[in-house]
Amino acid sequence: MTKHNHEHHHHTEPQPGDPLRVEIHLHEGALVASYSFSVPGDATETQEKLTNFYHALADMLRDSGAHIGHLKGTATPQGNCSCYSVTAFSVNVHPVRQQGVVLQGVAIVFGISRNELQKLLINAYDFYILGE
Amino acid sequence: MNCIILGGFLGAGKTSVLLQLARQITQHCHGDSLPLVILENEIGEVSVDSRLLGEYPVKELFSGCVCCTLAGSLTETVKSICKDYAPEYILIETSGMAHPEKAADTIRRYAPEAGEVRIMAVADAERFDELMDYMDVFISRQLSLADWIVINKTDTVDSSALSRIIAAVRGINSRAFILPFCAREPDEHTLWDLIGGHYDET
Repeated sequence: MTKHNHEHHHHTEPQPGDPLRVEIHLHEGALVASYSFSVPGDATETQEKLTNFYHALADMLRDSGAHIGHLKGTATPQGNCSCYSVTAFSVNVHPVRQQGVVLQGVAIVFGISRNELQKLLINAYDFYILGE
Repeated sequence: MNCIILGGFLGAGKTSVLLQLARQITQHCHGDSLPLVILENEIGEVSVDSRLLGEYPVKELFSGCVCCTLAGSLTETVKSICKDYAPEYILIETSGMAHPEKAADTIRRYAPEAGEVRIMAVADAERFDELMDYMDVFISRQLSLADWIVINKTDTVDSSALSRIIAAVRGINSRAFILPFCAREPDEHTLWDLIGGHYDET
């Protein structure tokens, strides 16, 4: 048995370099935002950026009058890897250097509109992840 | 086989309790069967919690709730776990928006091979008052039909607040075993004792 059997695949796994992707749906009165994005930087930088992102998102949500059900996410490190390529007789190995993490998260909140939630996620991402 | 459904509101600490419970079951089950299979349910379109359960066999149902929109998938998945793995325990972590008693009813009715189905509800001591202010009907329903109620995050409240929360929970469910707990701290056997009927509430 594999450790994880995915019963439902709704979209492809996020990749390093992906910008923010957000999908929001309503479930029994709760807004459920599923989001993913990549964060460049070393372990310390990415942790700091993501901690600030979550602090800011929670503050923005509260300031907008939302009740926070749960904000959560997992950051998967994108470390060095090697690609193997064979077309004839030789095996070509290409080391690929990548740094950063891909974050996949969910925000479940009550009491604000879908548009407001989307806007706050984008604002927090722009400011705390992209630094714009 | 035994089936334990973990319920409780968003952020109550169900996954942290599940991790402790899974570890204790693994330590104490010494039969020939697989000790446990975890079925993880989330309402988001990405699975977050199951990444924390890497060392255990996990099945996932996400983008819906096993008590309503995914009830059919719940039955199918539980049946396939019983048929393919027949573990000692099936641990089902519901989404924080689920009514665990509805998931329990579904399994009892349509997948009786899962064995005895019991509900462990996790209550959040840190946010208990806040949640009871605006979600009291929902929270009460999640706790009301549980066999065991784990009051988690006891490290965030003082003893008088904890006593008040225990009394409030007892008012919602008079028959459940109530366990004040802190899933952030290591625990060797309390949850195992609880599900085995060896936990002394006094």
